[in-house]
Amino acid sequence: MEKVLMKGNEAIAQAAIHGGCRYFFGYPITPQNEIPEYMSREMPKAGGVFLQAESEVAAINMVYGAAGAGARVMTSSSSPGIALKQEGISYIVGSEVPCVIVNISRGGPGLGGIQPAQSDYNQSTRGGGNGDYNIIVFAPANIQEAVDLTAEAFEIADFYRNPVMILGDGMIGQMMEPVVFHETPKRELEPKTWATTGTGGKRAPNIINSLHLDPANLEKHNLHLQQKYARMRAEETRYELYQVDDAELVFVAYGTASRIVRNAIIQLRETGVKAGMIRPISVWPFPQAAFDQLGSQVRALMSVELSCGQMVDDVRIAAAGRWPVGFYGRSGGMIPAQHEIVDACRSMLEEVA
Amino acid sequence: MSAKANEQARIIILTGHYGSGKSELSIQLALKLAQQHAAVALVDVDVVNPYFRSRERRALLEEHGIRVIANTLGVDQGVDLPAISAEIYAPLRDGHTRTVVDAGGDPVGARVLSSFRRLLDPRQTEVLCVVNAARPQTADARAVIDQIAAIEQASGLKVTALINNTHLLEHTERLHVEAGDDVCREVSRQSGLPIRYTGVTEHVCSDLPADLAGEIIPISMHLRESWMKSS
Repeated sequence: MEKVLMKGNEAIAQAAIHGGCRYFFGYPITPQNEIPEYMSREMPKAGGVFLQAESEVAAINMVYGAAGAGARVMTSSSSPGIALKQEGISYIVGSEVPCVIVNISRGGPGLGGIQPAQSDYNQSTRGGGNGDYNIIVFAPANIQEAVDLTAEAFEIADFYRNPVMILGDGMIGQMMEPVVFHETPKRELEPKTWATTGTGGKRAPNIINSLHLDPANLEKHNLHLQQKYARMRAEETRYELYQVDDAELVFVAYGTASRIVRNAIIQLRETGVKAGMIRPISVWPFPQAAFDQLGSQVRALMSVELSCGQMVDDVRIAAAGRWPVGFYGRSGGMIPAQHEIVDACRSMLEEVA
Repeated sequence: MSAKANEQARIIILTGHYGSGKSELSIQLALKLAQQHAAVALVDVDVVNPYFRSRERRALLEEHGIRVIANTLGVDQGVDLPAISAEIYAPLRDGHTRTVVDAGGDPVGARVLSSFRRLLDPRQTEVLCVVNAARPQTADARAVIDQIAAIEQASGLKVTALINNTHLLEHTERLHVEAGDDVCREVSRQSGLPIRYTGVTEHVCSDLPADLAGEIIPISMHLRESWMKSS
């Protein structure tokens, strides 16, 4: 059978191996444990290395080391574990080495809970680490998309020499769906001449480093990084438009929230309410361009999130005052019912009438 | 090779790979038993999955008079602790409650069973291994037989029959059920285990070959929300 039934976490782990990942360093945390579990069993069979580190901090620094040596490497964790990794992520970005980071997020703040949440939007798109930096963040809404994005993430990370994050709420990690492992789109990649693979006595040593004590040099480095981010904004933005052509209210939702919104739109349209959706697939870069395609019939936007409202700020920036922006969210691991979203849409449309 | 359900078995234990469909089948079997018996219990001892556990449908099951016993005291969702409620001994010991035991996936989930295996009278107990051949880890007979051996070793129990529960959720087609039937028949041939049931996703029930092994159990997905259907 070409199609197999897989749990999101397993599928992401297999997709990483499929995408050429040969090193995995991680530390257990619910609801992403099936990723390291799968890697511990399957990575050695693929000729790679699985290592359970003593902490998240150790794991991300192992990623830093392996990436510096030119390896395709991944780590995974969940919200508070990702928070611990932020220092390492900032160093990895500063040193311009590629890696893939998976965040199967849960409710916070602090230890929070183990049920699904999208309250890591700010942590992922703004970074919890220091400095002017960005990482590409993909937020799949189903397991097939998670598979395709994870495998491709390694190509994209190598292309930019920058981390790529897969951001799935706990539901994306835990639910099962049929998947197929397609061929991964390849990019033209430069050989990793910068990697610390040994000089063989034939060249000066490569140094992987994020320290630039001379302010003029550091600013130059920052401007170079900004050029990369500008190119990512131009070329790596991904989104889906769903029934926006005649929509009066356009929802903005990603991941699991977008699935419930989709059903809510079907229900609303059955009762004559024209609703549609912008579904960001890349949450950084945020799909600004999608908003510029909206027609003059649009009366309001509404961000729906499994959080108390984080992406809604990006929606406001993208709306740039053109439309009123509403919000509906549930947090802590609670998942909104379809009728809650339908009701929120109806009251927003009444408000702006 | 296929056999009618063991009417004598008072206790039905479901084991198998995680994702094979044990929890949905447990709910289905408990609801089915509740139509014929006054005292029915569902014992959820899943310590592997943090989400999608049969205890999450406590309200539905209790509505049908089914006693639900889960492994964490008083909290059905949101905890990930390998804590087993001692309440599970009650239906196993009382000699009359029809009991479905939903074990966690894989040998690691089945290990929990060893803690109460001495209470189980083999004449009253059926240990079923649920097989979903659409799962990559149990896609052929060899893999299923290895998994059965590992589950038996971890639980200290002998698997007594198989359930073919091959499915791809709402994407299940007749050919998937048939492919699972082939795998289970081969496991049965090599191991001597009968195939007790075939679990079939409701929408394919009307289009099934006549010669599937075991009794057909139509499965309606109790643990999947409507938005989980793939777009």
